[in-house]
Amino acid sequence: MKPELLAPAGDLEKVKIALLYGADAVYIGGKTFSLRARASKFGVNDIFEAVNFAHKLKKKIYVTCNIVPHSEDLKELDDYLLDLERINVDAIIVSNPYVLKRAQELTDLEIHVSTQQSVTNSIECEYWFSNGAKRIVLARELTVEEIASIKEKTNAELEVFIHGGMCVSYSGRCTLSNVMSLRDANRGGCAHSCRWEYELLKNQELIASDFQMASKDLAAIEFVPRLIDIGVDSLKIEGRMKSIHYIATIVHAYRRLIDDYLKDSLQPMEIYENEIKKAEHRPTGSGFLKSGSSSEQQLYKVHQEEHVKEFCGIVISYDHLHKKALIEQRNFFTINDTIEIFSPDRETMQIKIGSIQSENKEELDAARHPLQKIIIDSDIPLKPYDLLRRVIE
Amino acid sequence: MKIVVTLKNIEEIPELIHLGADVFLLESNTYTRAAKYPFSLEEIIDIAKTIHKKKKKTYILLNTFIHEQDIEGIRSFLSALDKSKVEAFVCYDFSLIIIAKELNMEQKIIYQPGTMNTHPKDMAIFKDLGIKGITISREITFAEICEFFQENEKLELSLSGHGYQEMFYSKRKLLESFMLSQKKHEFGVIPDAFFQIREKMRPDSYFPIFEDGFGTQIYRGKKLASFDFIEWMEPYIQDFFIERRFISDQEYYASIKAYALKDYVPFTKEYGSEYDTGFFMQKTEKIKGDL
Repeated sequence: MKPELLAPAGDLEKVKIALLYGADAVYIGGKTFSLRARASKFGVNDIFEAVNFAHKLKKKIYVTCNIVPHSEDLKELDDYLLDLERINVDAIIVSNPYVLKRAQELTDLEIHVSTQQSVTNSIECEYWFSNGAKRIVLARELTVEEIASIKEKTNAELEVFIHGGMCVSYSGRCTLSNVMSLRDANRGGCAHSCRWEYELLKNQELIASDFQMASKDLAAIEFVPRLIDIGVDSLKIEGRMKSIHYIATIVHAYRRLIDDYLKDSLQPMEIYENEIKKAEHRPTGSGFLKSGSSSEQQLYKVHQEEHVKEFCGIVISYDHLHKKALIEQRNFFTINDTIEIFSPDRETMQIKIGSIQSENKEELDAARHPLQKIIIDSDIPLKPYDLLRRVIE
Repeated sequence: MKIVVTLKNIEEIPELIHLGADVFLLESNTYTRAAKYPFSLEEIIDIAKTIHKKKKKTYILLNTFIHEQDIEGIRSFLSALDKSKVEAFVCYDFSLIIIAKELNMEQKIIYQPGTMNTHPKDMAIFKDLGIKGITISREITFAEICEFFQENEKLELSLSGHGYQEMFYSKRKLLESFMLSQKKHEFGVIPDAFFQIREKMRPDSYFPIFEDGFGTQIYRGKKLASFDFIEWMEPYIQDFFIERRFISDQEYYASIKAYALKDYVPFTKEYGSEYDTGFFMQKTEKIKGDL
């Protein structure tokens, strides 16, 4: 069975990129009931546009409604659920029993149970399935073999995280942010206090001034074939706050991996791993998939993301007659830089930057200003949504 | 309102009853994480008999997540304790409700998931599930807690209202992992020591951190006291839990006495500076700048 590849998106552009670069479905959060509400750009009209774009490609949009709500949050719930049904979202992702119940009472929306519920066994999967949920997003604290065991005993669809940043705690059971910053981690305000640096004291004596508890990001490349064999229904990438370059790179790599495996043409894992490393990333590990917790899965003394290719622009249009591409700049690049063309549907290619012009045809020696529209020469025909990334020597 | 206390050993029962304890919460050496005084199944059965002879109640704290391989074991555990007439199982994982239902024991479940019981609309769902009650989340305000009291659902409400309050649970062994990575082996023997973390921007806040085989727990820096609010809540709260972790016997006994006698002055004089009122009067924000 071919699993769904499910990608995150924090705005409409990212929805389009994720779907064009190979995701079968995208999950997004609205401004009110999402755990990423803090950064959400999705009003109902934006969600409607995302749904239309996805459905034209015969793909899906899921909307997260997975906050742990207080009473004040529930006042808008019914209207919001009805709006989501009206604009034909393909499913909602919920964590609270009352939200699930209201969605069932008011709508025919497909319901997925969020990882916020930390489902770790088949009995709970069956409970939610028999009470209206079609799919369970499993807790991230499970080994592959535990997932296999659950899959054998449940009728619910299973969704498993395969890539991205992870809560270091069981989801939903952390209120570090509430206590330290008065920002409600379970209502979209998480301040990521688990990624801060702390002093560690033992019996009141300072023993370390650089205690960290953050985990490495998950990268489950080597486990994807096994997860497909188990029959996991959806493979999920995390990262609604990430850039379009990150989303395109990660989605595209996993798309290739899944398709290659199902066509019996799996490449050495390094091929996919190297593709993923082109996006900005923290050090990665296998999370709990292999054998549970270990010090190797923790992140120490790493504060910045690494990447081997720098995202420098997105193609808006291409003039075939003059072989010039209109680009929206994202990061600095200059004449003579080698640029990799990263495209959803063809192998990557490289060009050398010969000239850079402003939209008004002024010659520039470099592209310095984020979001500036610029023109570059390219003998290789480019297409809208192709991404340009600078090759770092 | 019954005062629920954590039991250290069987010899302590008369003293705790004398101080005002109504219910004894026992920790299991199999299904209780961060247990301070864990007991085996056989010990629990014995202790429950003693407690029942004193006309008091026995609850069992089950605060681990149930993974697939735990299911058979927890079924046997619940069945054995059902026969010994334990009055309630205080459960962190939702799946324990379902397992208890299979065993026709759901009426003994108090659902205490820490962060998750944040509004009263869920009460009807838990009532339909047939459980005994729920513990209200620690992360909501007193005004929000009072909304629970206005619901007509016949579902018992409880509160963890005193002592160190957990704010984080991870399956990861964060202390051991850090020490391994830093080669700080000399700081081992983790369960026997009192560890705290301190964030550099909050130098006055020390947060206790505890690790055992189930993972790592972090607690709020200040202990919670409900003295200013308990009078208003008492008519609606069936069980009031007094947390024991990191607290001396002397201080623990003083807290039980304070709530039993409704005389909070001596306790406050002695220990008040280490306590605050948690989120009772403190809202949290969803988006930075909301407050």
